[in-house]
Amino acid sequence: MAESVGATSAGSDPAAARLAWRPGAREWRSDPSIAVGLLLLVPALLLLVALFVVPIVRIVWQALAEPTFGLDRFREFWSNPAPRRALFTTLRISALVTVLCTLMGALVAWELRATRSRFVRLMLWGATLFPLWTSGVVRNYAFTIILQRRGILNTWLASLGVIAEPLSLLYTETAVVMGIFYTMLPYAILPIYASFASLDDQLVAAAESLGASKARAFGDVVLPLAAPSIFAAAAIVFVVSVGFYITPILLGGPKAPFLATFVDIQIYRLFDFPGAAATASVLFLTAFLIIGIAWRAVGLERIRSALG
Amino acid sequence: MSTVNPLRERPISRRRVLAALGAGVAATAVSAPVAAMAQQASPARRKVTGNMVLATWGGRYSKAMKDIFLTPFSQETGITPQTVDAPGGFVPMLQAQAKAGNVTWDLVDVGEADSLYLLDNGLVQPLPADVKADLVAAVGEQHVADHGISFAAFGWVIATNRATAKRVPMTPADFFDVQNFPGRRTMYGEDQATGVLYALQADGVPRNQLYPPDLDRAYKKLDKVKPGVAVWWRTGDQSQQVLRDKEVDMGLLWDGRAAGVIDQGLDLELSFEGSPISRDLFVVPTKAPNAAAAFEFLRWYATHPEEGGKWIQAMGYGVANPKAYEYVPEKIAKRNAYYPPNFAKGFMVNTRWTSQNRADLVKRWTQWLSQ
Repeated sequence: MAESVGATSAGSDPAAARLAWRPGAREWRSDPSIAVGLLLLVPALLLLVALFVVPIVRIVWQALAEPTFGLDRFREFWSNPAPRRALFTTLRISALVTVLCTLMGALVAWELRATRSRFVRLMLWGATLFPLWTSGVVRNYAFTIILQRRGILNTWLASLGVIAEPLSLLYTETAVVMGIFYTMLPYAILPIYASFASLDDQLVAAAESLGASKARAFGDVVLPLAAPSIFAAAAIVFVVSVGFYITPILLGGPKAPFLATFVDIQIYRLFDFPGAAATASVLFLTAFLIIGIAWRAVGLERIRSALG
Repeated sequence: MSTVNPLRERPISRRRVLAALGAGVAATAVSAPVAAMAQQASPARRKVTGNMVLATWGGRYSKAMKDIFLTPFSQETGITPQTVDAPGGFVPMLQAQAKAGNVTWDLVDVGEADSLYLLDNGLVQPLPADVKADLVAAVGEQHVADHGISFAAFGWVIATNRATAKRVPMTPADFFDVQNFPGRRTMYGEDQATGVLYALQADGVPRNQLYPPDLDRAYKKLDKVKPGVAVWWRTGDQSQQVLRDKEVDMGLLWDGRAAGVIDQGLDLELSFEGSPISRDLFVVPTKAPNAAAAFEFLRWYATHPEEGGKWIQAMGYGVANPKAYEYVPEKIAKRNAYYPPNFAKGFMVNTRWTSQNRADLVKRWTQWLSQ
């Protein structure tokens, strides 16, 4: 193609042809045609369908169709107190983690954005990225070592004279919250930081020059602009948290299972694949619903801020 | 290669072996009785070759399995054994393999209750008559089922850290008495019936009247011990870890795991009072790719008590061939629920009952635990 275009304008020298092609009829454009766009999407779409859509449809289908067609599996889920409790535990802890992660994430992200000290920035980036690079098993066992009865934390507190008897920290809900919070914090920091980073400093300066306090400037200028990514961060944290499996087992024990742990119980101890499929479907639908709500919330926020 | 084949020898009754043990032979005897065993040549069988995939429990257990049984077995037969770790996941994984039409396991080392579920669902095969006859001849009838042979017989034990516990519970009733026997406890979190069986004995039900268990009565008693349970362990490793780390003072453990903690230097008191004793079975999946190799292994295992003795010493779990105890020092043997003096304080669990009621048992237990 290039050759033929070049041939008309610059004779038969291929190097000249390539040079001459640049300002030719078929310029590079940032918006390729729909057909080209679809073609480029095909590999990703195929993977997505094969590895994501098909398994999910199969799981929901299994929950509905085995052994007989109907909603019995879901009714069973709801009538049995154990999975219901697991659902509420999952939602409650995930919501708590989401709030903590979003608040802490926004603080850290702002500090990353605002600090003038290279050292502080380096430390913060290190602290943000290290958990991401650590294997989940190591991370959870580290918490076990810190939190256990004769673990690091209890030893410190005892030697400082804060406590007389070691605290029961491991195998509690608090331990689960700490474990998930630590894992999910980077997922909150990174998107929020991205939106803070693109913020124009002069907007804050302008607000202050018009008499706003620092807090007011942050609240009235920074937050509305960053709101979509804060919502997005919260949605990511929540959705990933509801699917946690290892942390509730290792740090929480079997007393307060997460929904994902309950799926494990159904498969490995009750041999109940359709029941497990129903539980997994409930988990999936919950996550889906949360994303939907977050999506809407962000959308509305955008519209409102656009209207001023 | 193997020239001794005791398969055809006259079976030695379990009682005779126990009598020998009682006389203290076990502590000193090494190989005399077994070395003198029948020397008849093996009947001609088609030579079995190829791979044999054994699904087993992982960790230290798999390593001992390889070192003690599979390596010498491979050297003697030329069959190449492999292990796959699927701790506790044997039933659903085999189910999934069968459903996908791609069974990859030749042999599974699975709890007897789960093995009955597999048998009832056609996922494992009954032993061929000739294999069963050989196994019975080698180890005695009570250690061979229609679909497999006993392995890793284990019991439960009340294990107490003498260094940290104020008083040492010696009976189920003591263990369930959190007022008079204070201390942090650990119990099995993924239980089917062990907690129930201990609870009923703690409440005064005699061992021979446990079945069918009165679940309401059992759970009433379990409510009493629940506040004292600091950790509901999930894996054998964890049960050891919480004792070692002094996270707990006492617990209901598998005997082999308790023995392991003692080997690691902890001063544990073991009580086999009221111990529910179970066994694994080696079973062969219905569509095993190389079932012949698996049967070959079963024959080999049944006729190698010396390796069995090594296994008991390494893992603390019993084996099918009762002669294996002749190779075990008493100090080690007495930590084993299958060791006759301990066995007398416990009872064999009714795996058929557990298997039939598993769904209800697990549901009720899970629900009770998360209350």
